[in-house]
Amino acid sequence: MNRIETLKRNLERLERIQPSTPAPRTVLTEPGAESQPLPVRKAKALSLFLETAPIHIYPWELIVGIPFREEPQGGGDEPVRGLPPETVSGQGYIDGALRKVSRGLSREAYEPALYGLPQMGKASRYGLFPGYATEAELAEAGRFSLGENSNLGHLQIGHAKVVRLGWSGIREQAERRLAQLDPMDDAEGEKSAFLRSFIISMKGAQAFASRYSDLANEMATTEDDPVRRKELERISVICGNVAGGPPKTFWEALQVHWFTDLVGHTQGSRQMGRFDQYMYPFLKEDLREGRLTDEAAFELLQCLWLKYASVTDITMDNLQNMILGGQTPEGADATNPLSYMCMEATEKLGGVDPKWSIRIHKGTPEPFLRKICEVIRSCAYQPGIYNDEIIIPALVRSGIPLEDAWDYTNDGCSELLVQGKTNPWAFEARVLLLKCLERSLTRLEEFETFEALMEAFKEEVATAVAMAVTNCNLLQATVPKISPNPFVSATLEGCIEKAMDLTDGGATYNSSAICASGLADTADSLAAVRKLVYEEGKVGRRELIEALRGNFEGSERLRLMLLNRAPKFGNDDDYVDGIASEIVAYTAGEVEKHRNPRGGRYILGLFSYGEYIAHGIVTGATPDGRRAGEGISPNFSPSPGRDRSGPFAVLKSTSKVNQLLTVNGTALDLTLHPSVFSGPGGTDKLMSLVRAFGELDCMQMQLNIVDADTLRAAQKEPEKHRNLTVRLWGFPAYFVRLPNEFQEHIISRTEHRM
Amino acid sequence: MTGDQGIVFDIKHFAVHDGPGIRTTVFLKGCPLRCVWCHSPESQSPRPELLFHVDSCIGCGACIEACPTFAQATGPKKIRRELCTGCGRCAEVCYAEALQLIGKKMTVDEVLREVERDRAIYKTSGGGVTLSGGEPTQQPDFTAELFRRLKEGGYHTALDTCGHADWRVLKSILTDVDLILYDIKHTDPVAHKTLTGVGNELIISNLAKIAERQSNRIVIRFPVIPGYNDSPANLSAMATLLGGMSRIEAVELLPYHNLGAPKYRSLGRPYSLKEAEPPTEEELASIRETLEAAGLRVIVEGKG
Repeated sequence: MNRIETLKRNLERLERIQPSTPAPRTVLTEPGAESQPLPVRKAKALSLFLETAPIHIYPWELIVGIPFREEPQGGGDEPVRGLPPETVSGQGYIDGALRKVSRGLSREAYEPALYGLPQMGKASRYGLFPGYATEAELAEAGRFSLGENSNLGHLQIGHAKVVRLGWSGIREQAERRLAQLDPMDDAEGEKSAFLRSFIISMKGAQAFASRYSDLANEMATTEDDPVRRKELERISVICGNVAGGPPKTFWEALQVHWFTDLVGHTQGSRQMGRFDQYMYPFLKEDLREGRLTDEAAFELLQCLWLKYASVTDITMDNLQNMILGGQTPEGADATNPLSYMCMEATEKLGGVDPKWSIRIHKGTPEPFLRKICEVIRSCAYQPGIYNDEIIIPALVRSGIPLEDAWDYTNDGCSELLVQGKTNPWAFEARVLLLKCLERSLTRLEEFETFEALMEAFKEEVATAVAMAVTNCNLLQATVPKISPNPFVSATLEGCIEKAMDLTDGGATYNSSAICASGLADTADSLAAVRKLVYEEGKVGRRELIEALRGNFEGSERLRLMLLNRAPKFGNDDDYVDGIASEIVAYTAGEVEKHRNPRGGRYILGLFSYGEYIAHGIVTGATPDGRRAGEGISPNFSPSPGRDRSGPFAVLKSTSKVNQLLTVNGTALDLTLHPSVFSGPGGTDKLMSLVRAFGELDCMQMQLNIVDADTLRAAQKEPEKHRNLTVRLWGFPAYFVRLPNEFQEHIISRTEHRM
Repeated sequence: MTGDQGIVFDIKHFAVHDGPGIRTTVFLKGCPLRCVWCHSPESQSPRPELLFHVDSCIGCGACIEACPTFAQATGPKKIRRELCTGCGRCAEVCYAEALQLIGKKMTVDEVLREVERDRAIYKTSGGGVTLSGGEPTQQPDFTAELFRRLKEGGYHTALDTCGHADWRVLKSILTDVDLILYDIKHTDPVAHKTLTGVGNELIISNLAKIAERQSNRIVIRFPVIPGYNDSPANLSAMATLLGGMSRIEAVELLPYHNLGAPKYRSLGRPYSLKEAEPPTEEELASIRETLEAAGLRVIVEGKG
């Protein structure tokens, strides 16, 4: 029996089912429940959930724990996983935009921060959570479209703390803090309520692990195969150990990590952070003590990888993301044998989960970089690449001390945060730069100079930023009143010390972000107006406005002039790159004026996520020659098809934008034709591109090495290309499982040929 | 034309198949050969020329108004090329980019500015600048000056040449060249004349002289055109010729492709190689074997 092959094959035995709908449950039925503090009720709901959620162990598994929506069908050696229908990644964005257009709402220049807070009280993709909020609480939260378990999507559990202390250690920490609490300092009882909620949450997790320990033990007694019986007994011991104390071995650490992750799914947190850093000490110790061989360690790691892969079928955009490599606090290289082992597991198993990205810096070892580039070049996987040389100074500039900045990680997507210390609100508030420009252009005839147009545009940006902040702050102030997050809070640095939930500002760092989209299209548009209207006088202001209003009907020649006779972002042209840089500097200045209710700062990110299609749908024709409704540039990337000077020119253009100002992060998508890196030395050439990216102080990039022919072929015969992966906004995804709009957009991006 | 200014028809950034590392390739216009398989026919004439991409034309007629010689009198679809002076005014107003003027006067300084942009990637990749064509030796003063200035600036330099040039001219250029990418298309002088318009005597004697100089690295490039230059006799003669030269680091096989065919249409010229097919993997392997037997290192473009 090849364990990994068997587990992998069983993973493919998937049946889409109508999820069963158990009777609604609530913790409010206990006497006096309603008068208990909200965080305590939330923690009790989590406990109830963990005490009763279905559990299952499949044949030959070493790491156990099924996702909460999974319903195993039948037993035996060839089990079938039952899952509800897949959530199609990106479809929600498109549907939202179409609804907006149909309601006549496409004139808005800002997006209120109403995204991404799924209400998990009802059946969500991750579980069926018991009720815990009173009717009054629900009514109040409902005014802001919030509900029970409206969780942040880009939140990170303090995984490093969990494997260091165990749930029991965290619980003891909270118990100690509770015992020391000065009653004078807690007149309202809030602090003790938070600490109690942390303790109850940890107990819930402990009980959950104990259930698996009991299950494994029970299965062992009826198992005929002596080998498997021993394994089940071992699993039982391991689950029992992690229920009661901190993990002591690599296997235990992986197991408690997976359980923690599963619980996190119900709390909006699905990210792993610097996995190779906090896990390696366990591996190293086991190897040194001779408790484990490299082969056995690799098998355990693959078992965990297949657990992560089981979530892919629930949704591909699942934010299961870790980051490998980077630096130690002393600035030394942090790459270790586990960093390589993680990449090898993905190479061996294929698939898009768990997602991992990498950190590079001046001292990144050549073999590590080579390994990454080989993986990228083979098209097996597309990691995001993060540059320490700019990210660490950017974090320091935002007020994070250097001793923490070095320990940054991406969140589940491409935003930046300090591992285990940040509650980021990284995703919710948006500014659509191209909409801001669209609004200022309606007054184009008033502006005698380009500078006057630029001023008007900036005013729109400032307004959009302020409105997005207002919305986002309202949400941030409301969430703690309906959905505190005791489980994740307990694992973050700061919450126990402050006796405060993370939703209230308990974490050490409490930033909020404004994500600006459409930078390239906006810079291209402004450059075209400046050059062709104000400098060369080739287009009149009224003529331009009318053409835009008419979506270039009957003025194709004008559209082509705007498209082909003005500089475009991504070609190393200072004229337009300078405008992009000015937009970012101005927007960052506006963003940084604001503070959130948790006492944190607002920071800027350059992200569209999967909304580059949706933002296009709600935006009219623009002076870069783009027709109404056409998709815009993804994230920090050039507009599709307009970067014609090679990938290095794209890096140069983006490097002119001061990325010390984009502390929330950026994502630069580069699509390269496979022939560029074919042949001998192809890996070396890719490595030199990555090194150049580092030297230019670019922040983040993600590479797709694929040609349009392959993608077209995959559209025609999806069943033959099930494993073809492409990088999307923050994650690699199976191409054939994307909505058609996203497929077409990827095809339209420039392929840089030889 | 003095050495200060040349006619450039393209500058390709991020070139990965024209020498070591990631490079910038500067294509100079004008070539003494007329290879029947040429994939860049727009590079052959030393003069600026119009390319017309019919599929991009929106029929706006701006070109007709702009044309001072009535070459465009009846619209771009029937350019009277005999009247065209290559002034480029029609291309200027063609916002659809259907009309494209190939060949632009550039000074050495202008080329250097373009090349300088990519310096960081030369550094991380061990790349540099390649002069190609057309045929760089057709603009000898400009090419020599450009190489001199590139070397002065610390760039790695490569010359991609067909070798058909007066030896004194070629020699004057080579001083500042690190690597020569030298085309050998056929060993038989008669066949060579039929296929390229010129005999190969000068090309082969120049190669021998370069090898004797002992100062440049040499890579031979052999375009493999099935049915034209892949006969066993020619391959065996290639092996003998090249195997006997000491300085040759490798022979790079450039498999024929017909991606250049649409350009003939855009230039209003016939394409004479319609029936040729790209070589098969097996054929390339067999050529590799023949050349390797003569002690040569063989690489296939884009494959290895």
